[in-house]
Amino acid sequence: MTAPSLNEVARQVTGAAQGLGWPTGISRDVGAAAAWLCGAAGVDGVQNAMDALTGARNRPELRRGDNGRWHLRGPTTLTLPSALDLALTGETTVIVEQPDSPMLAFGLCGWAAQQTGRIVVMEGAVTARIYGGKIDGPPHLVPGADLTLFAAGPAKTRPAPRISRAFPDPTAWAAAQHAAAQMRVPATAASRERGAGPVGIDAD
Amino acid sequence: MDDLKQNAPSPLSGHMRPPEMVMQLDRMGASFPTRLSFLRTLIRRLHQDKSSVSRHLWDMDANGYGRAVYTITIGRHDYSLVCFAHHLDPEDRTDRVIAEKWDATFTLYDGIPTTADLDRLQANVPLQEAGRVGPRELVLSRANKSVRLFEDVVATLAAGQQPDLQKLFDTGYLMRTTAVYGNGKFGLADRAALADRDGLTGAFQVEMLTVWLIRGFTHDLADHVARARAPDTAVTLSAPSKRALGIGNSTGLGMAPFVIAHPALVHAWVSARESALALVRALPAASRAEIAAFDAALRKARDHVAVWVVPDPLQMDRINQLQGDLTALAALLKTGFLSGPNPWDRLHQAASAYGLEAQECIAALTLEPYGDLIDELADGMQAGVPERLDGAMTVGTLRALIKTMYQWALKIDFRLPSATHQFWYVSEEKAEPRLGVRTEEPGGDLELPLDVARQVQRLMLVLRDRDRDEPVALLLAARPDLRHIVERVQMSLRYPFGEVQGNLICETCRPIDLLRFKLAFFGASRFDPKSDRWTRITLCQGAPLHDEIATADPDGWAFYAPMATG
Repeated sequence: MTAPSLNEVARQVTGAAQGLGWPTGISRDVGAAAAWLCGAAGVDGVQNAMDALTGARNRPELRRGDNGRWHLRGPTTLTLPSALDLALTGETTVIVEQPDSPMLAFGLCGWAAQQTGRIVVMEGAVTARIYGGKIDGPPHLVPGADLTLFAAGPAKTRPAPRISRAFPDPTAWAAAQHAAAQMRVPATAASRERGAGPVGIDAD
Repeated sequence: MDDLKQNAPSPLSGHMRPPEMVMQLDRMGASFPTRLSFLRTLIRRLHQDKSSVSRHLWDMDANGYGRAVYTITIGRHDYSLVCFAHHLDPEDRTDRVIAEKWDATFTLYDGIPTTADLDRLQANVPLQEAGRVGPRELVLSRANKSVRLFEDVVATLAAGQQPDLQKLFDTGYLMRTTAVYGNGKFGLADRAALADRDGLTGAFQVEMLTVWLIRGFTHDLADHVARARAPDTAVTLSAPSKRALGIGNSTGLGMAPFVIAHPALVHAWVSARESALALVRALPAASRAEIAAFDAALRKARDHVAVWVVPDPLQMDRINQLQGDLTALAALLKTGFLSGPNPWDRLHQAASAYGLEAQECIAALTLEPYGDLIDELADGMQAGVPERLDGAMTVGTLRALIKTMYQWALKIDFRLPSATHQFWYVSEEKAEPRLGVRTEEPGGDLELPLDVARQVQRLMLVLRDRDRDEPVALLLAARPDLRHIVERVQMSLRYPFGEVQGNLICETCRPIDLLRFKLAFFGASRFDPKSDRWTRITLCQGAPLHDEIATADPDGWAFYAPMATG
């Protein structure tokens, strides 16, 4: 198939997340992060997102550490949005303990940086600086490490428009299609009779 | 609370209509196109650029089956409408989105396609959703003939005569599109690819360009088939005949959730229109020329409404009332009403006694004389990257925001079965939005989150039990299921015109209101509802033709009625 557009990636992954039972707001963030990974970082956002979405889904734990920093533990899909919510308040450094998907964490940070025009700094499990959605070189990943996250900014420049295509792993893409289809409902005859669209042949 | 209100957009000297007025479903369902509508904006832009359309390729057989390419240059970029015309068995001709064959299929190509491009497109574009297109394709569309009119026009032209103008106007088009896809769907280029394309960065501009180019193709196709049928006697469509033929469109429920899913964009559209209206209403006086321009627009509107006839009895009643209201308005204006101080503000106060159709029609007409004052507002009718929620906002502030912006939602009694009678879902067939009855159809557990009012009430219940000083970031760490609705409520502060103030799952909700609202912003006219869930409309009727776009009045086609305007 033709490489999907970034909008298709975002829609497909969002739909997959919803089909897998993740909350709507989380699903949209993950879908946007997957598209950001594809478009801004040249990374297969679909595969990384699907790996995370089909992984652990336990409720995240949030606690204030002795040093006053917030600590989050749990699936990246849930911990990173909250970590970013806290970090972007501008008052705190947040530690995500051993994120299960460092690359999705990178994508969620990239999307958040693009949305806010802020500088997001990641250290540990992922080391990267993202300037308003534009990355300063490829991320360095250390699986199993904690992720320290803080936000500065605003970034001086906004990233250039994303115009690239995505090249997702075909198996991951198919899995996303299958998961998204779980949200679909067979249209009924009753719906048709109530006038959801033209009936029969149009020959006016 | 006062802080929240101070953050909201300041009314323009008290002339701005508030969201609680203009975002009511019944008023949205009475929307009219204005000079800020996307088609009007496009036509003005093409006119200012002195654009010209060239037919690069016309490879059609005697029956009008084959392919064609039209190219236009906008802002130093070439764009080509690639057309494929097909034989279609009558039993395959349906406007339903699940159709798999059409009379014609189209794509808007970024540049001028090579023969290899055309061959690639020919293998995919006729398949529409089942095919794949790529980053050089900007829009994908298809259309079916209005069979009776197409045949009648061809037969008349072949006999050497022009078709009856009234008949052309009554149907309004030779073909009607059943979908116009953009923004990355089915492999199309993402909208971001157009971010630096001067002239096409506005809302739905590439889609409207495609529709306008398709309209010209339908004219040429009728001429071609007539000529092939009777080479010795056939004539081509005259310019007035062509102008009377726009392009039709059938639109159903698929369009409705868009209005809910894009609050920032909808706010941009509505606030531009309402700002324009407020600017005009704030004028202390009107010149003779401005009054004359309004009078002319009103005359055209009355002519247009007089021939706006639809089978739907409810809509026909509304049209009849509109006719009466416009007649009353015309009588009022004969008294010199607009010569006094604050004429437009007084006009709108007077119009509040009329029906909603008349109020919205008058709002649209009021803008017509004031292009110099308001047309630049069209530049702001788009939205960028969606904003991220504010984790620092406190629960107390969020509660206050709901009480300020969502009073309408808090008043709904969701214990009543009628309040949750319907649910929105995505159909298995082509993944299109649909509407079901909760107690009669399966799928309620897979409901789309268009129940904004109900979600707001659920959020409010949770907030009552939280510390008012708790930041939203901590709330959402504990309740990630609330992320979507918290984000939406926060957006209402910056985008107050982005929220439809109605319960979209109640028994009395009429999705057709959402359709008309959106279609009016596109510039659609001749709204012809076929149920409360789908409608036919006409686009581009009366608009300048391909070969006159540089010279014709780009705004003279509003409220088009050929028998009156020629």
